[in-house]
Amino acid sequence: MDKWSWTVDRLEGEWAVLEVEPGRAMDIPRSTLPEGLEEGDVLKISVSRERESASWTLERDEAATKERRSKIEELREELKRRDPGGDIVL
Amino acid sequence: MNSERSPSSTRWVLRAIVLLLALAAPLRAQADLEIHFLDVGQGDATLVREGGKAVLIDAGEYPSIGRKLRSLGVDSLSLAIASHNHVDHIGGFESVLSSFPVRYYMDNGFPATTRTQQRVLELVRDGDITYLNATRRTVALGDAVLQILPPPPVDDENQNDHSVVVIVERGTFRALLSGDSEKPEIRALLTEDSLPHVDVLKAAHHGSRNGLTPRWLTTLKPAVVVISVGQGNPYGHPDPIAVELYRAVAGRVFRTDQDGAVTIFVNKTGCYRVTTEAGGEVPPVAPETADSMRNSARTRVRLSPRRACCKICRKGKACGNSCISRRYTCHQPQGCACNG
Repeated sequence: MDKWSWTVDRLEGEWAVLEVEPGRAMDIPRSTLPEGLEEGDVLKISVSRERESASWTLERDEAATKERRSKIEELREELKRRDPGGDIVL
Repeated sequence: MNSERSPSSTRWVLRAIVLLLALAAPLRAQADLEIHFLDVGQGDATLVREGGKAVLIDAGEYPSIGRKLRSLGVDSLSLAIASHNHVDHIGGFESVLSSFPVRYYMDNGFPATTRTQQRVLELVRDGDITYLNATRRTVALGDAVLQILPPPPVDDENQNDHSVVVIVERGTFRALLSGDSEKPEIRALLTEDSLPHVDVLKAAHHGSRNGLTPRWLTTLKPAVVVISVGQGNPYGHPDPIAVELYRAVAGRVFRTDQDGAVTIFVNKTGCYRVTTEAGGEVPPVAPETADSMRNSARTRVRLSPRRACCKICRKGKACGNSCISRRYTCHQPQGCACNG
């Protein structure tokens, strides 16, 4: 069984735009995804292949979402300290 | 032959150099401010350049942004701004931050959870780029100024409604870029900020109907609207009704999916002209003309999908934004003039 992790980048009307790898997104109809999906959710995709057919399941991965959010928050907190403040002259 | 110069000829050479530098100084000062709304497919990327320095506001989704910047002669960026952290606005920053020297990086301070977001922030950290918070501040770019309006407090978790707003000013010229702001952020901006009339408005959220309100348009009164949008996108951008509303208010509406890249050149006084990759153009507009364009649009604006007419041609025929004799052939695209 293959396991992937995708992220809901945004919701655009009937479409969910899923980030499948850094800088690469894919549009999937929202109707085919779990209900209540929100921007920022990390999804766990499991694909099982049997001979010539494949089936996949997709579920929200709350632990992975929390972990990703905290890692990125930490990174941003570190960067915030570099701001010299005030107006900037380029 | 004696190759040594006499002291007097050296003085003349030095005087000539000083004179040339003195003559060149006002020419440099007169160089146009350039705002390039780049054609990056479905996404946003705007290059603002003045006085030899460049600022990139959003980078589209794809690495091809790097090639586009190099073709415009850009080899470094003084500032990169992510209006917000959706992939169609920051995807291209991975390539930009990996291959161009960048001095400052600013985003909306509202991080996404994508790996693209993580990668971009890691590149900022590892590249020793100075991160700027999106606070209310000004950024001087030659003799142009970028006013930064931080995202106002909005009660939702949508990245779009946390877009950084940038107002580009030179002389009397104003252009406003508000990323993908939707109605909640637009209403908050209208309540919290005293927004100016603008000459150029980048339509929020790729011309979506949730990227404007009647008050937004009547407050800003843009003379030119640019919609950054990808051909054949599945999201229905731009919304046809939104396009009609923009047309009702502004003299001209450009779309990167039809017009290609759209470039605004602004001189020191604020007089500006518009050119497009597809060959369209708006001839130079003086600030006072821009005001009268806005005023004439304002008196006739009907915020409904119906087409608004800035001029009714009873004797001649409509051609672009004015009337011409019926004997002449019109070479202008459809404008706001109507046949009476």
